[in-house]
Amino acid sequence: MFYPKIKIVHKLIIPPLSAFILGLLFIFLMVSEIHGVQDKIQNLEVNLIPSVEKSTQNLTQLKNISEKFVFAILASEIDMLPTSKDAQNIEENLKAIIENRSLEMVQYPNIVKSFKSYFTFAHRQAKRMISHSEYEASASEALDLMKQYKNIENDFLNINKYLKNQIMVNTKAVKEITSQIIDFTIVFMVIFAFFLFTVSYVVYTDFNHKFRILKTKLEELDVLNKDDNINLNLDELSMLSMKINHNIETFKNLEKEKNEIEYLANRDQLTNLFNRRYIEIVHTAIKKNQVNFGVMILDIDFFKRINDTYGHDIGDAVLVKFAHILKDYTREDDIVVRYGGEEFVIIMQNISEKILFTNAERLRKTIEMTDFPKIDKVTVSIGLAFNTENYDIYESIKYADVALYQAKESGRNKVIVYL
Amino acid sequence: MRYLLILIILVGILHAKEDVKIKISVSSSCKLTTLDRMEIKEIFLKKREYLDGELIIVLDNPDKLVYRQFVKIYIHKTIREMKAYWMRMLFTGKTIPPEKLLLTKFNKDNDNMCYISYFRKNTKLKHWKTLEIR
Repeated sequence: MFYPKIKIVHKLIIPPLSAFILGLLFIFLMVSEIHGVQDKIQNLEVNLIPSVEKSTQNLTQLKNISEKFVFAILASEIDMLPTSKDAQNIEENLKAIIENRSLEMVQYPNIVKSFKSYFTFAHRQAKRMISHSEYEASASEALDLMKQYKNIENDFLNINKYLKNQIMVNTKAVKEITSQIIDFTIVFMVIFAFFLFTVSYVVYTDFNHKFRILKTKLEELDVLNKDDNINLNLDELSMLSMKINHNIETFKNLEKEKNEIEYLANRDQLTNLFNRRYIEIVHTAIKKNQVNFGVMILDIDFFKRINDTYGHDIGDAVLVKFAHILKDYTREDDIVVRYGGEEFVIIMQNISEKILFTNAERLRKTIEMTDFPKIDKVTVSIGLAFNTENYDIYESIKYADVALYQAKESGRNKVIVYL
Repeated sequence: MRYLLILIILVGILHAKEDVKIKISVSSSCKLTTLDRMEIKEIFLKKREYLDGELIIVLDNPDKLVYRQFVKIYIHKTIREMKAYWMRMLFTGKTIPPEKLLLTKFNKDNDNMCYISYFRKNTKLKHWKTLEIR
């Protein structure tokens, strides 16, 4: 597939993905806010409103009880006195308010007990008044009765007020949270729209920029004509992508073929070492970078005699084995070249004279000690030279060749350095 | 004997019909000198406790005849209505009924407070002054 297309797809995902993440965040916040509102409303519906109703009932019932006391006294009828059932209603209401947790009971820890005490006391006073036909309590008792009623009534009023206040607080909180939700939603929508617009714009700009570059490149490669009117839309992009893919496949095949040809062009077919042609490439590179190097030129002694005695097949086998030894005993960066016939050149970069000589000597000994097929032993003569002032490989090879000639002349199987 | 009985009954009826004359008095330490009828009603029903910045303490006369006459003339209620009023006040925590006046105790423990009460017009009092009714 066309590589840039994948990148484009990634970028196209950014706006909806960001929108999705922001949306999730928004929903999460909203759910927690709405949950808060629901709690407040539930508290209102389940606890506070019923509690206020009960509290209001209590105030009315307390007044009714006091009226009953007065009527019973005036009628001198004990039977008309309020009963414990009347008091029980109030007690039950108070307990229900407490159970609903609508009331901070710290403020009214003994409210039920106080009411009971008042009722009992008032009942006893009223009964005494009726049975003794005394309509005036003693000053202290009257004062006590009045105070007790006043306290109970005040408590009931305060409870009612407190509960109503709680309703107001809760209602206000609900209004505030609702208002916050609305404000937050508006702000979020604005930010969301701005963010999406920005992200989309950035992605589009980048996309468009890449598209232009692509178009220019394709025009340069003659895949597209300058007159071709290709716009930034999916159909055209798809067509363009297909065209590019096709061209890239062709290009890749050509590239592969080119590499193969280049490889073959620089290699010796028999030994798979570099051939003489490759020296030109190395020469250019060394000259350009001015790298110090040493050249080793190797010639198999009496190779013509091997060919003549054992035939060319054995001669070729000797060459192949010889090439293997050269490869095995040189560094990875060293360039081993079959220079021609039984002549080989090794170019070693960044090497001292001493090491070059040591390597050459080691090679010579290795070859001397190696058993070659059919012919048993082979020797080699080696000429060495170093880079010249102008970093010319050909010049160095020429000097190494002079040294090689001296090695041959002086009895073969020797390493001679050109001085 | 029969005539005597009739005479006693007639005297009793006449006595019962007799209108008791009432005067309103305050303890001598009070600054008050005059009151109108509305103020009297409000004070004795404990709807008003202060007059010209002075705390007024109401005392009821223990004489039932005097009480009935006072209630009738100044409060415009019956005894039963008064009872109902005070019971309601008491059982609804508003206020308590006034205490009964004990003259003997009062004379001993004159505490410079301003007390107000009502008496038979001919009652002679040591530490009290009679108010002028406007």
